[in-house]
Amino acid sequence: MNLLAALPNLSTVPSVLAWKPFLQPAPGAQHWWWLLIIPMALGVSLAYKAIRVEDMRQLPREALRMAAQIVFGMVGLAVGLYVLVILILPYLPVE
Amino acid sequence: MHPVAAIAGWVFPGLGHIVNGNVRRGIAAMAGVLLLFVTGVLVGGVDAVDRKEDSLWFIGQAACGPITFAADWANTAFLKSGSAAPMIPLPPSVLNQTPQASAFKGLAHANEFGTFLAFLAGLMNACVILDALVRAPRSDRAMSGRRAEDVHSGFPNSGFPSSGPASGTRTTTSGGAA
Repeated sequence: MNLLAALPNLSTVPSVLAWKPFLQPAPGAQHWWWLLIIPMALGVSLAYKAIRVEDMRQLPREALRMAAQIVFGMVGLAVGLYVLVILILPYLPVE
Repeated sequence: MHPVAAIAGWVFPGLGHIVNGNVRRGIAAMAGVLLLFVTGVLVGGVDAVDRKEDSLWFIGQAACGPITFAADWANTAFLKSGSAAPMIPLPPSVLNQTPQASAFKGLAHANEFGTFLAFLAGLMNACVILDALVRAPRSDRAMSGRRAEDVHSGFPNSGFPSSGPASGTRTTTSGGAA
């Protein structure tokens, strides 16, 4: 598995220049889709903590903390599943 | 219960709290929900919201209110009509002998994540609406007042000397947060 292939690359630059936001899907999303975990975690944590914190002055810290928990939790799950599926399962006996 | 706030929260994310006087809370909830929704439509295009082709996803997305229906309208008006991009003929099927799709139709990751993020925005806004339904009006202001009393009454770790009730005793005021 080539991890470098998952990184954003310069081949999408021409299509980005011709991109019509909100009408056309974002170009090259297959290369950087995993980065969407950041706005997803920020949005979920901001909306959730906005209705959960008692003192609104704590909102930025609480929302950032929850976003970090989501991101690192999902990264941990990804690493765990990678170890299980790619490294451990091939060595298990078939029968 | 505050049904007017709940309806306002559906009309626009966070508006329910603002109507109820909890302005900062409403703006924060609005920012969170709109961040999800706008990111979804930005990544997947307006095709991420499709009432007919993704009807189950649309049920969740519709909790965001009229902005979801506006995106669905834009999808129909600009993409499915062919005014924004040329239509591409697709292989005929049993149900449709001359199927077509817009050249701007979202596929694969872009469409999946766009649809998912808009759906997530709807789910979060449903939580925000429920909170607006039950939260006491202007409770944020009452909370600030209570915190201020805590500070001046010598609440532990406040950094202020005790000048009110016994230290460590939380004072209560009427109209506190639900």
